[in-house]
Amino acid sequence: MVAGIGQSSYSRRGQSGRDSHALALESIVKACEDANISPHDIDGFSSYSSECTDPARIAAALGIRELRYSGLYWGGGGGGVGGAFENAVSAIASNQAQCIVVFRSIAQPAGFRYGQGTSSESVEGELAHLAPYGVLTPPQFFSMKIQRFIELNGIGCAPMRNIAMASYAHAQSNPNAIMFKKPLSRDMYDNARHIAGPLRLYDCRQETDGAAAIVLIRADRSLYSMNRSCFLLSAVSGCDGRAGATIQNAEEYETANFKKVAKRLFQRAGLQPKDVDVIQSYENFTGGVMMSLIEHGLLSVDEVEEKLTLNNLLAGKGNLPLNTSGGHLAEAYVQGLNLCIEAVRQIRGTSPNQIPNVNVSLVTGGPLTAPVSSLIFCSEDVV
Amino acid sequence: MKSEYLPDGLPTPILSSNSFDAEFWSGTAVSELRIQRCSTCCMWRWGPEPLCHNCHSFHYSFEKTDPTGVIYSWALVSHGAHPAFKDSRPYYIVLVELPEAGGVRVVGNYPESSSPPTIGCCVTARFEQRKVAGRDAEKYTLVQWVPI
Repeated sequence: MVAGIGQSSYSRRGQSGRDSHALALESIVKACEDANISPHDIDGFSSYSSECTDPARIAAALGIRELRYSGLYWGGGGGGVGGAFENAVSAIASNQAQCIVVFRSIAQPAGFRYGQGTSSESVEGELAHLAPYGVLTPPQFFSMKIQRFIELNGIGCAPMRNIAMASYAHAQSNPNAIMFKKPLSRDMYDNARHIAGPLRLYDCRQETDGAAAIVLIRADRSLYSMNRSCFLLSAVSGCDGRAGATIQNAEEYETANFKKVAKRLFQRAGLQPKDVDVIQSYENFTGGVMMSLIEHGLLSVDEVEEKLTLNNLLAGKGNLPLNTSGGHLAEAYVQGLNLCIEAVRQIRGTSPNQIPNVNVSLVTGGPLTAPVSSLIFCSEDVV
Repeated sequence: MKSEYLPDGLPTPILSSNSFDAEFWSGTAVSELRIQRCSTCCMWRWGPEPLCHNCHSFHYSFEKTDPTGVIYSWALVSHGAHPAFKDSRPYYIVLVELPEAGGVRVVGNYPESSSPPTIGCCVTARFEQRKVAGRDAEKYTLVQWVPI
């Protein structure tokens, strides 16, 4: 079960004034305060992607008694966010550790950006077949997948615009969001510069500094809080076996890579897509969100124009409330872990855009990359 | 039209004989498209790998294939995200399926940009020789795609 959640303050890239180690510690201490435990009681850490904080150093800084588990889920971007929870749950279930913090901390050093191409003069391996053609960054890697998906299915630009506008609309109620008091109008979206293929500026996640942490412990009835307790019901990672074929050679091309993962996610949870009350869907790019929602069975390809309207994506108005704290586009980009925190807040009833009576809270991580992962958090009523 | 589609200054492919795909680049240098093929089960594969994902044989060759293909996907890139593109115009990237090489796909540009490509349209390779910046004696050859 989720014992506690914590996040650092979020700031624009390079403006936190702190390194990822310091940000991670802030988020972990806050998560322990929220869980009403001492940081000394932590005995494991789980993270993913290019997390560069060192578990032994974090452990030393927190003064924990013994480090019993430290795991890093493979894969770039945020495809592994659910994988980090999957690893932590496995470690707790097998008694390797009892109190594991899942965290992600990002502080981009000067001179490095996720969204900037390599500065190397020469490249080898896969990049040798991409970079000389100006295929250097994630929007360029993924734009052709999204293009094929929308071109073959006859999808216009409205669904992606509505996904972006929903995130910004929700951020206006979240004082911790980077885009708080910075609403996005339809004209701003339409007039923004193009980036690659169907992606315009507001289709792409921002780059921010920040950290987020969630404390997991074994579910124990004696520990259920007076407030609504939150449980991790299902965390599944993976992809089709050939999804990682290089130079864009995955047999299944125009996919967010969730088809097999989503099936196992709901099977393990004993739930169906219609049971989901609220969705946090990882925005690297809005096109990836659209494909994630379809592959999780929340709508069909034929329903894209009908169901991905702005109203239908807004908390308190629609049937598919999406990215209710502002998501990566407008809250912060902590590679999915801030989405997990919002998913927990929705179960607890403490979201800045609270949906009434949330029992099933879905997170989808890192679409279009491989492997990918998804999670379902739930209330006591479901377990 | 200008023979080089993209500006100078982008990363150049390493062509050393130690690199795994050297034979691909030695092929483009003589205007041939050479794609990796399993010597045991004959399955084509791309990108390059040391073994066949079908029969797990480590024996392979780079085989000359028909340099024509079909646009599988494409994008117009407006934000180049590299200093080389500082003053340059948007450019097309394409993913081209090669029916004669088992349907594997290669990435390139689409220099005939009077109109955008569409998925399914037929293209043929144009071999574009480039110089390595600052070392004019060193050359490499990219594969670009133009409508048939």
